[in-house]
Amino acid sequence: MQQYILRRLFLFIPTLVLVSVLIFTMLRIVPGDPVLLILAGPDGEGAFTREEYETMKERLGFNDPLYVQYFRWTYGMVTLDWGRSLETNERVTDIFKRRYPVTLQLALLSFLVISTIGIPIGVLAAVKQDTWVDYVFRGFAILGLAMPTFWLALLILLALSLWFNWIPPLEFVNLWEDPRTSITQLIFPAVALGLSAQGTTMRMTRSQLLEVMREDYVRTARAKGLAERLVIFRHAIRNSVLPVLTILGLLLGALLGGTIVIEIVFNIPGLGRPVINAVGSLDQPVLQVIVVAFTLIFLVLNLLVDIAYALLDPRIRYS
Amino acid sequence: MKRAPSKLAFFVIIASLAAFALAAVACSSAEPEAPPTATPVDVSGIIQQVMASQQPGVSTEDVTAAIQAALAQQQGLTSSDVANEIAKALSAQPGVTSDEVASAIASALDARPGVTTQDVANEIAAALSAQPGVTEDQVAEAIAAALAERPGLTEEKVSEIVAMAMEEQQSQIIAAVTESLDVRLDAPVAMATGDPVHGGTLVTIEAGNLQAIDFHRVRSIGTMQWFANIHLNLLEVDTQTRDRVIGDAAESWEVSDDGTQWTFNIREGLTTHKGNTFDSEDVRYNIWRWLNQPNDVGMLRSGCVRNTTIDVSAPDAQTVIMTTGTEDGPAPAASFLNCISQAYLLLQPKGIMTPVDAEGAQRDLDVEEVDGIGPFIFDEYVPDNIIKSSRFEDYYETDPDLPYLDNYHFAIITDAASRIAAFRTQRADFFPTFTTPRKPEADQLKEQYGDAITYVRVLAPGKRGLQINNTKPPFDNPKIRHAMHLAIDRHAVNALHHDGVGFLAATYLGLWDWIYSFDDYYTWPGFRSYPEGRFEEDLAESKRILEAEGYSEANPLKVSIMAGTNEADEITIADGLDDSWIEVSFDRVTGPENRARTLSTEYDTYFESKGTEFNDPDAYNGLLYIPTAGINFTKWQDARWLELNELQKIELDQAQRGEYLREMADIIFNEQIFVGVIRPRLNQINWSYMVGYVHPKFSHQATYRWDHVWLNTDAGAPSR
Repeated sequence: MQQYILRRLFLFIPTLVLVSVLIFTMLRIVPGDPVLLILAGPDGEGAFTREEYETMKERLGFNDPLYVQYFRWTYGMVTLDWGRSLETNERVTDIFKRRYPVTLQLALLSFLVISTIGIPIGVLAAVKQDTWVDYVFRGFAILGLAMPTFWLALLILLALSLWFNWIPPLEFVNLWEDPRTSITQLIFPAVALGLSAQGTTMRMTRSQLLEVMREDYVRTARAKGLAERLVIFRHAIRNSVLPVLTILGLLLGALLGGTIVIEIVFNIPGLGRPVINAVGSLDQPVLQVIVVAFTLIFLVLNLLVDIAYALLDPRIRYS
Repeated sequence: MKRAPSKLAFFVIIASLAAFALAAVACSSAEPEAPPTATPVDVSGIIQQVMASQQPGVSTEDVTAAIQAALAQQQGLTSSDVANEIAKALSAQPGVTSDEVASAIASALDARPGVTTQDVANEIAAALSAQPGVTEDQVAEAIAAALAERPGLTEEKVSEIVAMAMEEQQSQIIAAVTESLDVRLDAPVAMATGDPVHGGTLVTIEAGNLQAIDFHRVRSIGTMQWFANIHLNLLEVDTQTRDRVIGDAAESWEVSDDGTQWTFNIREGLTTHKGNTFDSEDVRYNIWRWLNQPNDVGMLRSGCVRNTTIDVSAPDAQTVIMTTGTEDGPAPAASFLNCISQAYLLLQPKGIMTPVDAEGAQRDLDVEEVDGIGPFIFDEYVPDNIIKSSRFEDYYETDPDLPYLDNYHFAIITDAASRIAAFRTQRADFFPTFTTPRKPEADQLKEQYGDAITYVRVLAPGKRGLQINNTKPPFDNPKIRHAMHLAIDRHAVNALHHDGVGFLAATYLGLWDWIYSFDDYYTWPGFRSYPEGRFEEDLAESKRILEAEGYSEANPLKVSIMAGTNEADEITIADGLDDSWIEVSFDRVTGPENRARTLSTEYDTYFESKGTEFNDPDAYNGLLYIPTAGINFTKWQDARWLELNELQKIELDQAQRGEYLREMADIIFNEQIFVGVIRPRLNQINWSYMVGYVHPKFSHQATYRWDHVWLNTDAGAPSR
């Protein structure tokens, strides 16, 4: 197992290199000039001359060959000197350090909502197949899948303000500073994210469980006279959970990779706004770091899911 | 089979038509006839005649008596007419004091039947306040002096009458300001009534983060609103009346007889939030910074200082002297007072600026470095969430209670729906001053909450329209540019993208009727599409011009609009141009690319929107028209225009200055490089429990400072 993990960790390197080359190249292919962004400002107010433009370009190293620029950047990444935002001049490390914990809290809470809603109703729908319970939960899941997250978030906000004359406090508080206030701030965005994503989990849980429940070993368990509850929990769920785990891993990756629109609607100071701004203004240092960081997050999560496979299914051995 | 209409239906229709016709006739006959127009009395003319007939050295009493005698022969004059004209005539005389003017008005009004002592006091207050340079204290003193000798009036009673007159004057000013500015008031402007409640936290909303921490780099009105509470101005437009310039960091000021040297007396004992002394050297450094822009950092809203000021010095700790002039040397600057009192010229302590001004220091200030002398201390900044400040105990105001609030918070909410939710639930008290709700949303809030909210439309003057590249054929031909101008349907742009409440972005602001009024501009070809809609004659003229230049329906003029920053306006303008023989295409670019292309004049035309920051045509000239103006990218210049500009800049007589500026406006209109379309009116909304905030005349020019604001819990203010 240890060897497997080490091998996987080693494989991270070519993946990250490939991604870094891709993002670095793409940002230099798309139209737009970061030097202009600095000189003119994001709203295009600053005045500058051609000489100032050339001087700035030279100073930032944009006249160097691309490979030199690339190696300079990757060296900075490795040594944790991620550069400064072209738009705000803030250190990218500071942006990440301040904002990512906020996104992390929201993503984990959303993940909790997805798991606690999606898996149980998937199980119930499978157990009560073709009854009204199944139809209601399937309808609920499809509704979640059909509703765009931002629209659901706006509906929640509108309902809270119009019917209850209340919305979460505007000033964001971290979970470890004031858990109660923090939960009141995060629960509604988490529900908005969770309701949309629970549909996938529910559908996957239901279909996998139905498939497993048709297996011979489940029939054998029933024939042995085991209670239905034990059949489902001890034999069926454990065997049907692996694909669900894969889906959950991907969903968590997507959540950790950004809850952009929800953060904006609910005024949460996570990574959402910097990502949107960076895309809009071609803020290369910020975009490059964010893409590489999100890639790393996905790689780690995939590894964790694979390790979880082995823990859940004794037949799987990594050697 | 087809059914024939029944006879009954036929009679019902005929009867309805007959009833409708009868009702229409009845209504038209019921309309009252317009009253006969009274022959206007030329009061100014009468007074001028009297003044002209007086010999030098005649006393004020004699002049007053002569004016009274002349006015007594006129019918239909109101007390206000009499008071105003006497004040105007006497104030123009050298050496006449406010007390003498007040006394003259009092004796003139006493001769009129039915005029009470309170009426006299009210009229004196109104007439004297309208005179330039007369302070509120001087008005009050003059009224007291005029009434002092009256039999039966105790000193206490006189004070009471004076206080009532001043209060009346205050409400008159606000009513006049809002009325004259064509601002629709859906609710009364919140006035400071009752005893202020101390404490609480005011929360205002803003749509974006601070543009910079070093305020002088900032152009954003939202950032200005925040820093107006951290820093002070040298002078300011009074936030409680919005109609006069008063001292801020400067206690008082004088101007030399030739109008070129302005001496500002800085308040003694000013200390910063961090306990440092703030004196004339700090002020001088700020002005020096605006003039010199160290490290080539653009100080975008201080252009008027560079355009008017040639020198600044601080001879002692409490005195700053600014000299106005041109390249040729000292000269008066007509717009100087409006410029120096504009809201964007906030003073930062010298100590925080010198590190970022050091040669090669290409950086903004850090939040921890911020220090100021304003009413609130900058405590915390969480981008995309909230900015917090708390009460500054040593705030300079003579009233030790100010500011009334304990804290001021600035909630950054980028999503429009979320802003409305925050306002509805009273998480916030005030919408952004610039990114205001659209009219339908504002109307809905008003309908729902009634007088509990205050909803005022505020003008956002400036430029908004097309910039045409006059260096690139065929747009170097003024006729082509004029044809484009004529084809724009301004009414459509207003209706579609400004909810019908935008105003005409004419050459100069139409409220400056001493140049051209809005009504004047509405008669100009092209601009006349604003009030009612497309003027077919303008469209026909546009086609005629194009035809004469070789274009036709089959061979239209091809125009590329460099677009992307104001898409909604751009599309509607293009729709208008399409109605003529103009084929429009869009070249969409980002803000920085737009800037690069405009700087190198690589465009046919592009849409530009910029607000001006002070109440003077030089704000327009400095932003748009002079060769060094921020957005005069083609460096357009016209010899006659420049000559007139030099004359108007130093002309202190408004009537004469108006003449110069009218000719300048005509030249610009004929050139059509800066094609004005529509500027927005902003729907400023706050909860009415937020007392002590007076809505401004103009959005950009206004200081948004909350030192007089308090939260009235009796009127529903939430406790925070």
